[in-house]
Amino acid sequence: MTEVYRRVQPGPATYALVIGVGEYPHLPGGSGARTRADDGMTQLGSPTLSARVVADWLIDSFNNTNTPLASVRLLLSDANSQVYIRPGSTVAIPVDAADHRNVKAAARDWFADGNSDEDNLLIFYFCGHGISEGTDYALILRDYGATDANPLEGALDFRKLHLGMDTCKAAEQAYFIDACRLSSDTLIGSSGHAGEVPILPGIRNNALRPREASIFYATLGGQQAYAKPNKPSVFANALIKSLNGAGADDSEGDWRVDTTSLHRALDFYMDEENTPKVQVPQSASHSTFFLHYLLSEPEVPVVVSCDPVQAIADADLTCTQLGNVVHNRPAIGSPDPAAWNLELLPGGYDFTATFSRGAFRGALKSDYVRPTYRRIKLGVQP
Amino acid sequence: MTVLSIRMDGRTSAKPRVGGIVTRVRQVADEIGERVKGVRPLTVIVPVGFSDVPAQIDELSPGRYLIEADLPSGELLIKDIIIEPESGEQEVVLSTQPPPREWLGWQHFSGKVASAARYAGEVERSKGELPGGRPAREPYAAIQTRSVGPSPATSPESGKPDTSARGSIPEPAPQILTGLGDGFRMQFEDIAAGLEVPVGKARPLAEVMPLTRVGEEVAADELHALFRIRDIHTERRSYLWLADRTSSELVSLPAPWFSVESREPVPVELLIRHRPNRAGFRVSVSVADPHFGVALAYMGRGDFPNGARVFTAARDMLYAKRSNPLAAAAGGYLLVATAAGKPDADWYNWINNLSEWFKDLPDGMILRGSLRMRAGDADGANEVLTRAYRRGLPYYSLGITMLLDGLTRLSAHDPDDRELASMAKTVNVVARRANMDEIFTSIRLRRPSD
Repeated sequence: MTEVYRRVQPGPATYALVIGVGEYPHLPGGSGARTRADDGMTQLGSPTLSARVVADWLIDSFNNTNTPLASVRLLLSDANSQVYIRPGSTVAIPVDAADHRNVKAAARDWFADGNSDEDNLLIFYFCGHGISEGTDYALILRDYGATDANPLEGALDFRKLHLGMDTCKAAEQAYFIDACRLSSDTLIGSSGHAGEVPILPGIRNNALRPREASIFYATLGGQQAYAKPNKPSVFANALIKSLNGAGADDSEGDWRVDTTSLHRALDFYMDEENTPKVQVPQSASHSTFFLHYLLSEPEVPVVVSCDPVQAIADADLTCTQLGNVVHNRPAIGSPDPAAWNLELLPGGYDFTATFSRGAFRGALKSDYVRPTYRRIKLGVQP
Repeated sequence: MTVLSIRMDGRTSAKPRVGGIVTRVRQVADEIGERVKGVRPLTVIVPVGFSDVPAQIDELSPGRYLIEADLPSGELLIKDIIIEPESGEQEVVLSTQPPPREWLGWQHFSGKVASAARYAGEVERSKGELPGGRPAREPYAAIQTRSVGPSPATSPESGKPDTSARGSIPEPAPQILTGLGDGFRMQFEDIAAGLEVPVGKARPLAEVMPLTRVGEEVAADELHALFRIRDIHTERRSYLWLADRTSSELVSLPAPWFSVESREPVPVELLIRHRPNRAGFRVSVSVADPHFGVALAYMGRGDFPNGARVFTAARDMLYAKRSNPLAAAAGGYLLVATAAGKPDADWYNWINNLSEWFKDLPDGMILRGSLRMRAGDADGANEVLTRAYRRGLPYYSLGITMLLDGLTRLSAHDPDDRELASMAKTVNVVARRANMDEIFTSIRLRRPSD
């Protein structure tokens, strides 16, 4: 089964296609005949975790009353488990393998759903290997390298998919590509072929709303995307946290995440979680539209540090609001980590550093906290 | 009511004036501390550079405000201020993180170079990755060539730039050489056919280009080399070839580039980033334009909404003077990318004029074709985009993307049009060699077999 969530919605709705590819039978370490075109790619542990986390979030947390969630299609290539258990459920749903046949079929079904109303919202998430060459970008699927005559038969041509989706009525489309964008010999030698094309590029009917499509890449062109072993990827983590709070704005009265504020939040989280900075997210085709409406106040990331940095070792750090202690971190006796990370609801707070020992005097700073994030630097005097 | 002035601090690294940064002024609490919700922030453009004048907001009511400035580097500057009743005037000064080197100020501000703390880490890592703890040094070769025909920047109203003030180039490390490729026409077919770098013709860059090495007293472990090219004295389009042992790159220079205000040439900066742990390099070209520099920097980072805001603030001046079609094309890209198909009629006319007045500017015709495509006019888009194709390599990377996308769609729409299919295929070959992270067209070339 590809569709792990379906709810009939009477009007415009949101349709998601989520793909996670970790097991590659024809790459080194895989169970199948090894392709000559591996280009240094191997098995991955993170993509299926990342895809599951994104599917979970969509089913459990996504909220958009203009386009409520109607469908989540999920395809996985997971060496350990080809089932998906929805949040709050114990039912294991068998999930189709993320090979080129299934992905093409799912993409066409997703297109058909999107084509039902021009006010629909489409969401696409892919996590797995990716190889790129200039504008061409191949998303590598489970059966990549099944035949050396055309290894890229097991890939999705993302550029052409994006062009093809312009002919879909759904005017709002968000693409999240959580994959490397490294150059590869296979793509260089492929004579313009960058994978399968589920929907041919075409010209949008100008009677329709112009398409607003935003693409969020996990990394810059020519660069790698990262994950910690057996954890969701850095980008997937940042995406979920951003959607839950840091990417929100209340300019319209309620807290909403739009594509522009989401980009700012992704920038922050990926900067924070990459030390040293190795992965910079990038977006393209900038349109600003609302993706998600928060049901409660956003949790805002706050980073508290001392100036000079080493003072944090002996600092008792406290965050108070209207005189009440909200969070406290006693001195840890080490300058590492150099910052105290908090998540706070929007509002005014006092941040203090006090010292029971060491060479510094205390400091106080009052600051207002709201998304995207706040960095609080407490200047302490010797 | 209070007048609020917002300015960047004096050590802001972007000098001289390069436009302004998009800054939101958002009231978060009222005079008695009650939270304010559902109020859209005021957006202002805060000037950046030497002769800053602050951005001013009149008549702010008392309360608590957050000032949020989006730097092109992605850094978000935030100030939390209280506007007291009857406080008259109040000033907010926004400070950026210091650049790793003073001479990398603009590059740091625009997000091409990390802040001082991160930069030190990069240097340390690069040492650790190399045998002997020293970064690799590869000699670069660079070739300047000129296409047939005038530069589009030779506008109806622009004069020839002054070419007398050539800079000198100290012996750089890595060495940069240059040469001329005579009568070379930079068409898509040339590159797709396998254009090679004629390294054997390399000559010192300063012989053909008024270029200055910036930051001459650099540490041995420096990761970047920065060159400033002034007063490019060409009536024809200029390209630069850079090559080392393993790779080579063809860079389209955005020159001559004139300030729309002073009509003086604006220096073009060439940043070469080493890859100490491996052969190869990356090259970035930027223009510190007094009005559009920051807009270009936003564009380079993919922040099109902010780029469009900065551009829009100055576009009337640009439209009126017609002296900088390259800046105009940048504005066109920003607006096409963000307007979601609803540009005003003036804007359509202006893109049409850009495409007709400047015959050697492929970008104007590409923008026009993209608008035809958006209007669902396949025949019109076909005619315009094939004309764009024949004008050769666009100045902007985004032009390659838009041309390729347009030709790909049209080709799928009319599979019997063989010429269209051939053009789409050729542009695709070039697009595969393009460095799409750079604003200005930069193409990886084949190395000569010798």
